[in-house]
Amino acid sequence: MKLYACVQVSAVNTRAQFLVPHGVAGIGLAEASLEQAQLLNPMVEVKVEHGSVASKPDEFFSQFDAVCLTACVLEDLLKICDLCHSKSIKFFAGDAFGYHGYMFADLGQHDFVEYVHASFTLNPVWPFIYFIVKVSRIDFPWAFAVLLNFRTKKGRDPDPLMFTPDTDLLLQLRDELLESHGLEKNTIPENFTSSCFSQLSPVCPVVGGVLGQEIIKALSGHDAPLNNFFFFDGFTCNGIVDCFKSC
Amino acid sequence: MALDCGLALAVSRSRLLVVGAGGIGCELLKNLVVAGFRHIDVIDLDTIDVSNLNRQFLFRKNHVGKSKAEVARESVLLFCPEANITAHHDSITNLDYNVEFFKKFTLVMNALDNRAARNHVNRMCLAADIPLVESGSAGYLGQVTVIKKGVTECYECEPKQPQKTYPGCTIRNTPSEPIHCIVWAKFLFNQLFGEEDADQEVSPDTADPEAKWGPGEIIIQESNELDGDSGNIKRVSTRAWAKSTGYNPVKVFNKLFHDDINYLLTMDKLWKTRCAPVPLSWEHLERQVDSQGAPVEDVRDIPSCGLRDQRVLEVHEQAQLFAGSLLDLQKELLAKGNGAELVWDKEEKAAMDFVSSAANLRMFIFSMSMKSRFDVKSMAGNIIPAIATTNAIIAGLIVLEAFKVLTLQLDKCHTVFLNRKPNPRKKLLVPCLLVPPNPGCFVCSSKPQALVRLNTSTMLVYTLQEKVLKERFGMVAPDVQIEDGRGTILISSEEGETEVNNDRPLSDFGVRGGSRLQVDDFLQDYTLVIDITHSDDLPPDVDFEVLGDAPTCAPSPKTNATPTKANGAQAVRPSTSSSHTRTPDPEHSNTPIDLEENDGMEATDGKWQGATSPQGFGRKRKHSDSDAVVLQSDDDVILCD
Repeated sequence: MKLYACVQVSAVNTRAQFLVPHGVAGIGLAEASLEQAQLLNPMVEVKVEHGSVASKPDEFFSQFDAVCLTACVLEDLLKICDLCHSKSIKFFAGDAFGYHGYMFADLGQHDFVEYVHASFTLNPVWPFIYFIVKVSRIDFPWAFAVLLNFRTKKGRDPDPLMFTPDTDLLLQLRDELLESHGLEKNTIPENFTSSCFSQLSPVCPVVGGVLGQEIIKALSGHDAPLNNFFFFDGFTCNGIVDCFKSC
Repeated sequence: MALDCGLALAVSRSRLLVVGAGGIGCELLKNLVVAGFRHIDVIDLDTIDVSNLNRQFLFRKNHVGKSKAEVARESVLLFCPEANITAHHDSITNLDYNVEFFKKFTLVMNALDNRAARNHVNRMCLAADIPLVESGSAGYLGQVTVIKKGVTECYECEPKQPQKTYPGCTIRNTPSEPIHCIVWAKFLFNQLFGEEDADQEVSPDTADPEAKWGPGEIIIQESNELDGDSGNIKRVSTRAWAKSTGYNPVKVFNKLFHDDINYLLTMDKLWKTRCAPVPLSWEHLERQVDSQGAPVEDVRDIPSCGLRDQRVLEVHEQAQLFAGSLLDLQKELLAKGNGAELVWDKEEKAAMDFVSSAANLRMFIFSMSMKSRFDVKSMAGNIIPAIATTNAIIAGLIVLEAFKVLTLQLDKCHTVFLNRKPNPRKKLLVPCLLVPPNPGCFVCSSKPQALVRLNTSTMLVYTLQEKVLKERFGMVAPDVQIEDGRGTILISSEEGETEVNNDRPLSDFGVRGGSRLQVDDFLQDYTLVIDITHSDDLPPDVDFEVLGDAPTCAPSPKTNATPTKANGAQAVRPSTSSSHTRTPDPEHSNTPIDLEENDGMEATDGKWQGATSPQGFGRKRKHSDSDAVVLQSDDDVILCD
């Protein structure tokens, strides 16, 4: 098995990233995590890929059975999701914003075995893009859409050190999004901004655990995958699986 | 991390006790320091085993054999040197960890793998009035809850159901699934090397109602006579017989896999609708191997790094493994001296080899597909394989619940269930309201009281201590005083004071129906008043009943559980009983109430029961048999042994 860590270079936060040894600074996050990640299982080949995912040629992705994106801007998510869908590569994405986190999977045509004798086929999942434009029932996806738009606009996530300007921008993006879909303002309550700043560390293992499990399930072909979104609210500890597709 | 000020302050100031540094414990420690906790005590009795490395990510190969607590501490300090972590390589039931010790902490977090230790920590937290976050995982399933004295249910408010056992005749006469053979092999281990137990008989059961055994048809073997009542073939015990042969592998082999099988075949009614077993003799196997010229390498010498474990051995290899491990175990037994016993442990090589080979030979005889040692180990250890991702999720949830406890938002805390699949309300993670304490709880109510029915003229003081007080009521070091006006001390936790009473029946001390015993466990700061009712007609195999408990289903007077190493406590299960009136009914429980929608019992309804385990066995049992509040292990789940 080959695993590639395509983490983009960013400021190393040795406290938040337990794979990054104390005192390491000035190198990419992927590079800094490599040694510890490798030690987790010496049987796995772990490699670091430099440069941003967006800059990779299409062929780059063909070598993988599964691609998982975290902390990417919306544009890259959509582009790579489409690409993977067309190449029948299992695609996953996940993020954590404050108390909220989500996981998304596009497995394309996916066969899996469940129970000993039966085999089921899951209908193709619609690509990621519909999540943004078609969703209407739950607050979460809309809130996530706002957060992803924020990331696109600012190239970063809301920062507690810039709480006031970031809150203003979030609310502005919310209003734009809701307006463009002709929805009422209370679709996303104003206070959503209070619980989505920075990453809250215990939310990450929940979202990461679900992501990891889904990737294992998808690649092993065992058990029904979560279809196709998982949303987590770390305050109520609600974890919802919902399917959003074009209809 | 972006904690708001109040929470950040609470986090940085609190001092935590983490009990257990295994699957959940490793994840939890990581989460805690990353979240900003700086004062943590971690305690674990265990040392690191190779089998831990796939998920307990704070441990590496070079740590094998070392203390889990200490290595976990060192590994965490590597990425967070400013954390102040104290490691205790010890059992939490040790007297040093008294109420004063518990009072030093803001919050206690359990990351345990056995019920006895959970019971104990529950009581210590109640006594110290320190909130407890309890957790457990089993395969894909997991659970987190918060326990606070006087506000929520305690861990023991809902009695936990004992696991079911398989009917003896299925194990002894008519196994139809590999698990039956594995249970048989574990019984065999105990018969030969461990604690002898009449309920773990491995020889053919002539009292099998199906066999309709008539006295005229008896074939009496060498030293065998029929013991008319019990249906056991009366023999000098299996062990005595094996000893008399010097644990001769060929003789033991032929007896178990040839003679006993032939004996079963004479019970011909059993085989009318079943596929009859085929006896296997050592000599026959030898001839087969000779004629095929199969290489005779010692299967035990094949490196066991995964490969050997996952290969299904040939019959002759199983026989060889059986013979080799039998001799190894005999040596081990001898080395321990006279009267010693071995305790079965799936991590002990010879013991596991023995059970794997014996089970497989029996599977072969009963025309089942044999299993790899790896698979047998999972089933014999009753493991639902621990899944790293489940532990990660549970450990994340523990911290999220802890945040709410620390910011005094107990009303916002939940019991959270992690399901295998989303429930009909699409929830994979199901938060449920915390339940208030059970006023009749024999642990956390203000004056704990229990009514116990037993035969005062046959129950020995020792049995009262071990089975009733320690096993059933979860005490560690009980003192018992008879409320007879004179304050007669029946049992003292001080060594040497009351041992002379051990072998005498309760009636010798004036205990009879209507007697009242005051039982104290000073470590747990726990007093229980037990009212005795006398009964002459308890069902056979039942030593006692706790009234209010539901009638026993599949009474199993002896726990077949093998002691687990974790935190020093045995996997203790109630011996007679099951549950009192508040036992969650999978359909109509009052226990977990889902927020908002009140679709409560999802965690125990069909989704749990319908879940399959990777082995395709067992899980269904577990979740249909056990209640919602059972927090099982992050390592092994005892299903059915």
